[in-house]
Amino acid sequence: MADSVKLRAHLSRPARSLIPLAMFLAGACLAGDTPPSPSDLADASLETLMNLEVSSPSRQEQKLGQTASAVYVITQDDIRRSGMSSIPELLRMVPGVQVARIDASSWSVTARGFAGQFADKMLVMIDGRSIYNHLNAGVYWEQNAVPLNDIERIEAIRGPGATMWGANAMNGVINIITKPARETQGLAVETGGGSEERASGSMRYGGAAGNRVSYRAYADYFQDGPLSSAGQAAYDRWDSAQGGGRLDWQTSDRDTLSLEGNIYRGAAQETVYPDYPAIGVSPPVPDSVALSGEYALGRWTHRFSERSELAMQFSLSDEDRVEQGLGRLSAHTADFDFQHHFAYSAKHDLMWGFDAQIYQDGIRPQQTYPEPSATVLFVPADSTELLASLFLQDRIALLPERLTLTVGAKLEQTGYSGFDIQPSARLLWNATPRQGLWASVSRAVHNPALAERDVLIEYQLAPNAGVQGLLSGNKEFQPETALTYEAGYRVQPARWLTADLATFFGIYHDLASLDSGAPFLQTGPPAVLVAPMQFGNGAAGHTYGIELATNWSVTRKWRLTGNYSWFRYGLDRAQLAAQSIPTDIEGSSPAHQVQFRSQWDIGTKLNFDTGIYFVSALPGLYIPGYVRTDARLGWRVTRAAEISLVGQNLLNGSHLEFAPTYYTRPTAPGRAVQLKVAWAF
Amino acid sequence: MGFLTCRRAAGCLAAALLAWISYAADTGHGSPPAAAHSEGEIESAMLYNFTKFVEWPDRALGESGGALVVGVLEDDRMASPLAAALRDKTVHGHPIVVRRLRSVAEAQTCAVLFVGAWDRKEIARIVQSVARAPILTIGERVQFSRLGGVIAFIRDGNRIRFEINLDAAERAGLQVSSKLLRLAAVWREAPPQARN
Repeated sequence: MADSVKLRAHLSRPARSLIPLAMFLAGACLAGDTPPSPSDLADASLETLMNLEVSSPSRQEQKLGQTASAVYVITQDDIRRSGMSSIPELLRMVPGVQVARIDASSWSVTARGFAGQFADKMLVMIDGRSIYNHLNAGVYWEQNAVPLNDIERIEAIRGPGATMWGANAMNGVINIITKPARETQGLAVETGGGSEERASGSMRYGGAAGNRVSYRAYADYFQDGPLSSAGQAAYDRWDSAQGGGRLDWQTSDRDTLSLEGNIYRGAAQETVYPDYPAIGVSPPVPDSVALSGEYALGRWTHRFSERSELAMQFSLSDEDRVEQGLGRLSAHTADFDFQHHFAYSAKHDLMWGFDAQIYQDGIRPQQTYPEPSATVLFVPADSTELLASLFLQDRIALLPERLTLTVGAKLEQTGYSGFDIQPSARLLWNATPRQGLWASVSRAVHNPALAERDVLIEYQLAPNAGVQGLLSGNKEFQPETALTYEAGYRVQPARWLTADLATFFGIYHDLASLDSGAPFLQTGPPAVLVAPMQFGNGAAGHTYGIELATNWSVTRKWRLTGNYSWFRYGLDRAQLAAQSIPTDIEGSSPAHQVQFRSQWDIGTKLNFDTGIYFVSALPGLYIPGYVRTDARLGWRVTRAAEISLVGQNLLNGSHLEFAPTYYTRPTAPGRAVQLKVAWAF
Repeated sequence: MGFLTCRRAAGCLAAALLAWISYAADTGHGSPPAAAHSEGEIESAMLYNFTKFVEWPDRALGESGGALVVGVLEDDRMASPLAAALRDKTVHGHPIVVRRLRSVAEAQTCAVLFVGAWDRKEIARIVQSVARAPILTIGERVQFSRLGGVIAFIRDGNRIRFEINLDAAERAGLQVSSKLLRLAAVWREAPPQARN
């Protein structure tokens, strides 16, 4: 009964919000005229053809310029020319995404607020495989160091993507798409060294067997860090080695089979607060983390016709992480995904699919920190969950090429949080091919992390006075929900200029909080006073902001990019009970972020690229604003060889980008230089 | 919010909307709207465009009215979009005929040869066996032009670009118009100082 009431409430909110959309739509219908019929392609000019986008009906490759959402794409060229050496660092390029390096091997990456080492409202996928960790709700970036040269592009979608994409895509989706094997033929070797990323080396070989089979295999190693801490070298060196491969086999004209696999081993040092969540009772201690994991993925796509395609993907992933103090965290995930796209008629473009994910997470404590420190338990220590979802989406051409309405919903079922519906409606108006105005409303949920349900942490508050803290999960913890209104405008006033503006307003309910209970005396010996806290859904808040991306090709050889974002998060204090502390700290995201990047080709052999990033203060975390200045000089010595010199943080010294929100003590990235040599044969 | 401010805000909004619509209408003519086209369709249309900007040696095409043969080798994906794109088309007064080839030996009568292979050895073998013939060889992926083919399609994100190997074009005796070169990435097999 309670469930049905909840469902109705969920449905009615977006339905109400559709009314203004419908009114807008009616007005737009009257204003529009009949669109030109598609011309014979062969009679189009070469310039026109070169500007056409190739249609790829699968969910991963929708035409991004034509979507009614805030999308930003980082291309392989951007990756190479940025000089950055990890995926989270690359995401600094995306307007509205907040990247804060916590230490050499960990980052907080989030869009539209809710920053943290485990920024739990972002879904990150590599070739359609989610790398979201259910234990802590977030991404262990250090366990997913995809070789940057093999990436074709990174699509960053800000705002809810829950309807089409997987669970937990509440504030954004990051899709990392690797190149098909046919794009990585031949031998490529790269090696580098520098002051922060001390050493790196990678090798890749790609080959083909006949016309229809192509493959690549790669191996890489790097050593990153240490960064600095209070002027000293920090204890946060990170070593990582991995190997993997991909095979693409076009089994027939209509079928393609892809297989991918990867295995990695790593070691990361970190400095931790052993008494987390009561930071400061005992001094930070060095800790070491052993990382290992592997995954295998198979994908089959079948094209029935130009108008109908289906894709199936199955993957198995293992992650294993041994932290000296915390214990052994392991996660095994099996994921099956099916999607079918078909252009039902000229008006309706349908997409539907389902996904089933089984994940098994476990944590085995092992206590090695000196006392006093916290003990972390999960009850139960192992849990297996099934997450199943079904989505349906219809892209309706209200006026062909002019006015497109995309409506869809995802039904999601999890063992512990029950059934949820995540609908969205998006309207795109292309008054001309060169500009688009869009608006959307969507509802998204974030499933509880295992920690929020199952964790049990005992920690010392005042060890000498016999006062202990107890933080426990809550089996009744509900999914957090967001209702987000977005609008945006994209325009290309001239061939050399593009601008993309997005605004949003998000209303969040049932956000996680820590609720204090009445202290009680635990009989000893020795007797201790226990101050309990439990996870709850006590917080609510709203976000709003603006994100602007501009691109100016000054000449054929010089490109400028300027991005700006403005963000506010407001906690609804009136709704917050006296005993509740929200887990998301107000002011943990910058109000302003500005960046300018320049990509300049000097002749045919030199590239000179610079980037300036300004991030305003994080008042909630007492982190002052900072400016980061990067430069890269690339010299193509011969056809096959390139030497590049990269400088990062050139004008500013070391500065912290984040404050402790978890047990890892943040360290400060500083000025760094790196030399890289790459050959491709 | 008072009634007056409400009305004023609505008025401002309406004016802004009107201004925007009129701006939108002004910039309305330009490239045709981006309809969904497959890679094969776009590449076929580009291939047709190439034939208009390439001049073959006089002997190569024969009499006006004789067919210009586009051969398709080792590819099943391009043959049908090519045939569709080139149906009833003419170039320099020659009707175009698309022909599927079983081996490179059949390529001698072609003016254009589309090579679907992407194995490097295979590409090199095909390209070398027609290198001195007046054939516009076109292939996929950048290695095609690097291995001696004349034009390679290059996928740049969701768009298709192309690279021209000028040395290969010269070897085949083909004149490539400056318009085509302006749109292409141009590749020379040896750096300028080494070529003379």
